[in-house]
Amino acid sequence: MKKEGLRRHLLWTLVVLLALGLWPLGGWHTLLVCRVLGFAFLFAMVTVAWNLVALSGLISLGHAAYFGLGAYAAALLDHYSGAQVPVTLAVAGLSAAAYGAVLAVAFQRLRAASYALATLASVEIPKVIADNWESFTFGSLGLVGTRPLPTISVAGFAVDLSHNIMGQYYFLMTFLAVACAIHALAIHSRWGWALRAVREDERAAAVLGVDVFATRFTATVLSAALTGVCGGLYAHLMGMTEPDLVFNLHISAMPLVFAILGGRFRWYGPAAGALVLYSVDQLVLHPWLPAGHAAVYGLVIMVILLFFPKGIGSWPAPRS
Amino acid sequence: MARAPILDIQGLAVKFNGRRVLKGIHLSVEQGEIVSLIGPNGAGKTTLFNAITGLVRPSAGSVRFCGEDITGWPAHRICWAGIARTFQIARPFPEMTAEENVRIGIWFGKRKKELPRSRNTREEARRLLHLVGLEGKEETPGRELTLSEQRRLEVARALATAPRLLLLDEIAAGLSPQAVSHAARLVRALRDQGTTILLIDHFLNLTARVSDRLLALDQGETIAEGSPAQVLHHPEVLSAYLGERHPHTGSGEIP
Repeated sequence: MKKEGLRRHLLWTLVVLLALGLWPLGGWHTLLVCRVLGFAFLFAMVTVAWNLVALSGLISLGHAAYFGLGAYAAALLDHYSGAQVPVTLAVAGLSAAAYGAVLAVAFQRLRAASYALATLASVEIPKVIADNWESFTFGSLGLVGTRPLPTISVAGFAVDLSHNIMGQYYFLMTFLAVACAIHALAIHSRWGWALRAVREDERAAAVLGVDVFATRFTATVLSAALTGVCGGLYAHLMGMTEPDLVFNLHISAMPLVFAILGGRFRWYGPAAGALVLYSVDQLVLHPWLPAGHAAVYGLVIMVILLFFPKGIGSWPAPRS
Repeated sequence: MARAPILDIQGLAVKFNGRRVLKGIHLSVEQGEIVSLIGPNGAGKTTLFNAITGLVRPSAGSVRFCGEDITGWPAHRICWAGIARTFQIARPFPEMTAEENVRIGIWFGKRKKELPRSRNTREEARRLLHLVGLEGKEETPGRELTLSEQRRLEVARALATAPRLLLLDEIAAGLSPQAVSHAARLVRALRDQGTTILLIDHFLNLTARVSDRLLALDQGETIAEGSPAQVLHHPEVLSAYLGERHPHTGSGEIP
């Protein structure tokens, strides 16, 4: 990256971080906006995780599987063992990562539409299990009463993450920051170059010494783990986990929309797309047009695609 | 007593959907040799390259490289062992610049721990681009290079992995006489630096000028082997080239 571009890049990052970090301290925020942005951070994290796989040249339509597995792992662990939240979140991430590892091996020969279709189908297996193993998962009713996020101590202050919406806001923002850091590595590190080579020409990459399977496997497992943690967070935030809610096709499709509209090839693109679109939808379109918001949402997506074919993330970058 | 060959192929066979496209090839190449593979379209030359470099799995036979059995290894490990190749239909990374294309070979061509730390990959990439005549194209994306530039990029990228054995697939096809001369000089220079070279040369542009030895293939079998003069006048080679017994089209490139 050219020096000029880098400086501009860092400046933008700083401005956005300061804006997101400081505005709730101004005192004129509303809880609604904080709550919505908190969820925007959560879904941005799913989008960033999804893009890790996309950076290896595969479009997944099955991230609801990882999200749902994470949510169920956290909720079940909480229900049966009463484990603390850090433990449930870790197990949520690990369960999803294990499923991701199995799929990465099973689908290693699939590409393009076949891969997308296979991942779409992969959601059905955990969903059917969650739906039907009533003695363990409570079937389609799901689990309720999952413990809320705990009270943590930050620099001597007790912050109740379930009731203190601002605390929750910063808590989720931290998770997103970690996801973005991993995503930045997936673009700028040596592994990032391997992903790029695999994405642009797999056979050429292989004969130049890039381990195609390992590169994709790492991306898939990391992506699944992050998505699983999001599922776990969701279970604790909502307090309930139902098959139709967490294994929903919407959760698989959402990151695709957010990432492509945000710009898939910049480290901040998927997160930016998710934050802007989710907030606009929830804060502007829903209240303003309770009945027709979906249509306007569709229109927004089309307009963005027409004017920013590389995503809204391409806007602050220098014109070439 | 002769030295052990750097590449030793025994009875190598490849099947596609039950069709035998390579039927037991034997080939051994000495360190520092330049060997050409010739033969009509569909003879199995590119398939042989794919089998050596791990892009297709042989159904029988073995490939030994520097005394080590590499049959069935994945492509990246064969690259790490020291075999590099070009593709007949060039496969540049389309969105990367020419320089970045070459740097992928430098970064990944050897195991991570074997890579020297803190070397100037940028300078090395530029040197290789200069070697193949792509100076001034460093910042051009792969997709914007002309076909002949993409083919030269293939060579620079393969060299970036520091190979001991270099497989060149039709690098001189469709080139002007001057460019063929340049390619021939490059091939000889590489050999003089110690790289062993296996060439595919359907159009016989380079063969007679640089090869120590020729192997003629037809329909997946060896039909002649020996010095360029012997092979090029071999009756079966003449009939394979002139007889047009092969109506099926295609370059032998496996998708």
